[in-house]
Amino acid sequence: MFYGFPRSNGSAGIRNTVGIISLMDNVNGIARRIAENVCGTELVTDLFGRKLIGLNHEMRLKAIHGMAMNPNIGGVILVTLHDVSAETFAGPIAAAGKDVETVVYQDIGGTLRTIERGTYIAAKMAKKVSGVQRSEQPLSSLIMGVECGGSDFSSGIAGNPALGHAADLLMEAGGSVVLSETAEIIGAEHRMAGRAVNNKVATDIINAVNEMEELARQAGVPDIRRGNPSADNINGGLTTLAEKSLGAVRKGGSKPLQGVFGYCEPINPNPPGFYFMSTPSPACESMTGLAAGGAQIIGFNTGLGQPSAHPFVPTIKISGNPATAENGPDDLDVSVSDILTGEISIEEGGQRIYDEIIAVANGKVTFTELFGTGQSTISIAGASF
Amino acid sequence: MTSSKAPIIHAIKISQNDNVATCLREIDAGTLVSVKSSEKKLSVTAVDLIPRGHKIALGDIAMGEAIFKYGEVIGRASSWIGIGCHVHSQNIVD
Repeated sequence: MFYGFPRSNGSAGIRNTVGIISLMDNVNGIARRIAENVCGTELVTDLFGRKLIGLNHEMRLKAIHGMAMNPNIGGVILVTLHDVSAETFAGPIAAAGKDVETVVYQDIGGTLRTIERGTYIAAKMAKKVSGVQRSEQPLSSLIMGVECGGSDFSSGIAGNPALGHAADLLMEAGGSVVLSETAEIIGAEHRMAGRAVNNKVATDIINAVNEMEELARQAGVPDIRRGNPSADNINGGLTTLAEKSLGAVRKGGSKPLQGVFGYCEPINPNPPGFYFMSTPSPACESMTGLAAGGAQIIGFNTGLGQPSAHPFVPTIKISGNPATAENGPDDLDVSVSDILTGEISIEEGGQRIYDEIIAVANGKVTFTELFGTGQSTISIAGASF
Repeated sequence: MTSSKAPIIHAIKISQNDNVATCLREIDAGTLVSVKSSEKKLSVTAVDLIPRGHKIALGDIAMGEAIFKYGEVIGRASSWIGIGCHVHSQNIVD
């Protein structure tokens, strides 16, 4: 179990944050000012959000609703231009049992007045949600996303295997783990399908890869497998695409694949265990999918360092590279570089990461939370892979 | 970084049934390579020069046999690979 914040839908947060969500690019600046004014808030801005059509429109609806519903969020402030956009989102969020308030520029009138009004509304909500106390929660309500970025030779042989061992420990204790980034499993998709609990799940994982390749073809990239592993990869010692992809997949652990979710779809881990979400591979876009799915925590392995974190989801930075651990990024939360110096095993490194996961779930903060440098990016379909 | 107590290891075997290990530094031919693995310490003499991040065979591998890393098949031997040999594009096919 862990100490988390109980939510009305039965889930539990590891944080109790007021989420300030901007629903349009034109109010991002206002939303940012409001978030800066009130402690205990985190900001999600929106780069597009007006007049999107088709798949991108649907993805954005799911992304914003999903992030608002993330268990780490105690209450939501929606900042927007007009009533129509406010009501599109506020109604479903309220109906799903989450505290929500809207700050509408055209109703209030003027940038300064909107910031002032929004600040007061956010402060009142922060005060209200702070009354919820941590209590014992089952690990079955904890969903961890696993990511890697800034990869190097250490990623596939130290950081990812150790994070994978931590993932296995979490699942053995009743929790769930979600792997993402569809392009990264290409070459290992049949092995992933071999881990599926049934034929439907096996078909779903193969289809996720096929759809990603089809989107790439439509965008003018005929074969994203060609040139992979890259010349750099081959010089670094990776021989086959399967080898490269298995090194990435390894961070999700070794349990059977229980299901596959689309980008930003709610993750319902029934039963708890290992899941996949089909996302593009840029980390901010992928983690936005995981945040919208309801993951409360992310384990992020990096070789060279990588600053990405989601503002609503504490992101634990891990490295297995001794040079990175010694001289490298100031945002590294856990080093397992002593695997490569021979001092500890992969399993001991995994145990260290697992202990940090539970500590962060109980309230220990990550560097990126302290720095307030999280970034949410809703992907554009077919624009990245 | 490396404490004085740290054992010298040259390569890491990731899963129990792997038949290759990944070298942590460049290995000269003829070096006795100390391999870290979860079950027991192994050592193997390098036959070739093996660059950092590249794979070394932990046993003889017949042509057509599977190459295991991460406990999974990453490719097949395209020729006979002797223990201690460099395992890469020249002797693996996808």
